[in-house]
Formats: sequence, structure tokens, C-alpha cells
Amino acid sequence: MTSLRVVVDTERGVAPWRQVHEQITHAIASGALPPGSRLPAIRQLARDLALATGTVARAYRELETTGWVHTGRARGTVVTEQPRHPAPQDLLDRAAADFARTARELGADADAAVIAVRSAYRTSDVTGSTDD
Amino acid sequence: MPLDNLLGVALVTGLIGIAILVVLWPNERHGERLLRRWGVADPSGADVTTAVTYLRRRRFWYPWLFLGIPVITGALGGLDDERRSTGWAVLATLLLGALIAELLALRPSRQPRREAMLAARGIGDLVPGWGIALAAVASAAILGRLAVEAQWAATAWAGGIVLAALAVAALAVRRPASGRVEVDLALRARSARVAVGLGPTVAALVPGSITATWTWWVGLTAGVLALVALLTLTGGRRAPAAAR
Repeated sequence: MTSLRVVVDTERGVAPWRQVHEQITHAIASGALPPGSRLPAIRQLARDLALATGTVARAYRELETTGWVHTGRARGTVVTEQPRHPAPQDLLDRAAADFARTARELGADADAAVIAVRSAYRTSDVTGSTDD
Repeated sequence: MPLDNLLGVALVTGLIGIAILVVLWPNERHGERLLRRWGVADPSGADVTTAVTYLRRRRFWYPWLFLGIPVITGALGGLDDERRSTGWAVLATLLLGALIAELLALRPSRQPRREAMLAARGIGDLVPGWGIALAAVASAAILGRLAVEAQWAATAWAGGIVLAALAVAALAVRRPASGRVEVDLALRARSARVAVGLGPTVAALVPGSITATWTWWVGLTAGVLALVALLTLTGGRRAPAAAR
């Protein structure tokens, strides 16, 4: 049995579903959860973390949408094989390239672009806590 | 049994239960010892608090169960009161105390920080397969022996005891997490293993008449198997992560 764990802090200011999603994503991307690993059932994880079933279901839904996991009737939710899920750094580089292209089109220089990113980073922490 | 005898028995066993509770009321030392015995190497203060809460949820009920079991079994009937041993009452108290404690543990955590293991969990992760098989064989033999002897009331009592043990084991798998993952797993394993071992043992001690020699041997064998299950699943130092 794996000793990997997920920790949810309801006072952190980030929506619980997002905390679950981030930690599972990180575990998969780092190889700690190899392909084929079976995640706990939604109800089990929800009971263990004292969260609503829908909260955990949302995290699992997001993971499946982005290709990190696959849910089957018999096997439950399992981590998918590569290369269905890209590494987090690849995703970050892709997002940065898209943003840089948009910033150039709007005529913003690098400094203005960085200020916009910092502001959005701060705002996303607040927004994340109101998602649920 | 006459009512005054019944009350007398209940009173004496209740006083014994309270005396035992005073002696056994768990403190930090008991909590730490329990965790180390069940595979938690260096328990912290918070870990010990979790273990003490776990023990108190059980032991609080002991005197009331000591008092109530003779009254309830006497009122419901079906058990041979003259042959029902104190040992049976003690073990039945442990089992019912565990059931009540596991039901109380179903309440979700209110702590802001919660931790859970990122792995599917089943009874096989808490109790070795051979232990489950041994308990199943012992339970089947005990119930079968009583049914063959047409001891229907005793069969019902034994069946109820086995169901209670199954319920404790199932709740140990399902209940919300408490404390760190290692501590949570250790306490779940303890609950499940004690239930799987204790259930058939208590059922084996349900008194019933014997009319055939072979059923006596079946009962004895089943009782020995149950006791072996109980002692090997709960004795010594345990590493719950190595349940398989």
C-alpha cells in the first residue's frame, strides 16, 4: 500500500477540490504515482478528508479531462499511461508562450506583462477559494 | 433466572466493570504503547492524543456493557444462563465496545487540516488473507454446529455476534481518517484485526447443549481456530503496512 498522502487545509484559502487536484497532479507528474496506480474511490477519499462527495468528484473530473487519470467501471480511477499527461513544466512553458504572444499583440512590454502575471497570480488565490 | 438474581449478577459485573475501567482508563502512556505495538515508530504528542481518544471511545462503554449484557441476555433469553461464563461476557463487552466506538468514529473531522492516504483501501489491506479465512472457517463451523444441534436461539446469538464483528471490521475500513496516515492505518488495522479474531471467539463461547460427540469436536476445533486467529492477529508487534 502506498504511503502517499493528500492534505487539505480548509483555512488555506484555496478551494479543497483544487488542493486535491494539485496534489494528485504533482504526485503523477513526479512519478510518485506511476501509471496504473489506482486512486481511492471518490466516496472513500471524501469520507477521509471530511469533504462533500461532489468536491472530490470535481477534482477527479478535472484530472480525467486533462488526461491524468481514467475512470473505468471495474477498475475505478487509475493513473493513465504516458504520454497522455504532459509534465507540469511543459504545461507551464506552453501557457507562458501563449501569454507572451497575447501580450505582444496588445503592445505590452516584458515588464508590463510580468506585472499582469503577478496580479493574476494573487487574484487566482482568492478566486480559487470561492470556486466551491 | 429470578429477577433478584439477575439484578445481583448485573450489579456485581457492573462493579467489576467500573473497577476495570478505573484501572484501564487510558492515558498518554497507553496511547504511545499502542501505537508502537502497531507499527508507529516515533509517535508525536498529537499521534498519542489520537490513540488515547481511540482507546477512550472504547473503554468508556465497558462498565455499562458489563452491567447491561447480563440483563439483556437474561431478558431476551435463549442462552443457558447457568453456563454463560464471565469470560464470554468480558469478550462480548470488548466486541460491543469496539462496535460503539467505530460508530462514534463515523463523525467527520472538524479540524481544518485533514490528511488521507492516496490509495484504495479494503479489508485485505488491514487484515491478512489467512486471518480472514481462518475466522470465516471458524465462524461457519460454530454456526453450523449449533444449527445441526437445533440450538436455534444459540445460533441466532452466535450469528449476531459474528455480524457485529463483521460490522466493526467494515467500519474500520470505511470510517473517516483520524490523525496522520501512519497512525490512522495502525488504528484501523487494530480495530479490524481485533474484530476478525474476537468475533468467532465470542461466538464459540455461546453456550449450547451437545447431543452428538462429533459436534462437540467440531465446536472444540472451531473454538481453537478462533482463538488462534485472535492471538495471532492481535498478539506481538504489528506492522499494519505489511498486512499481506
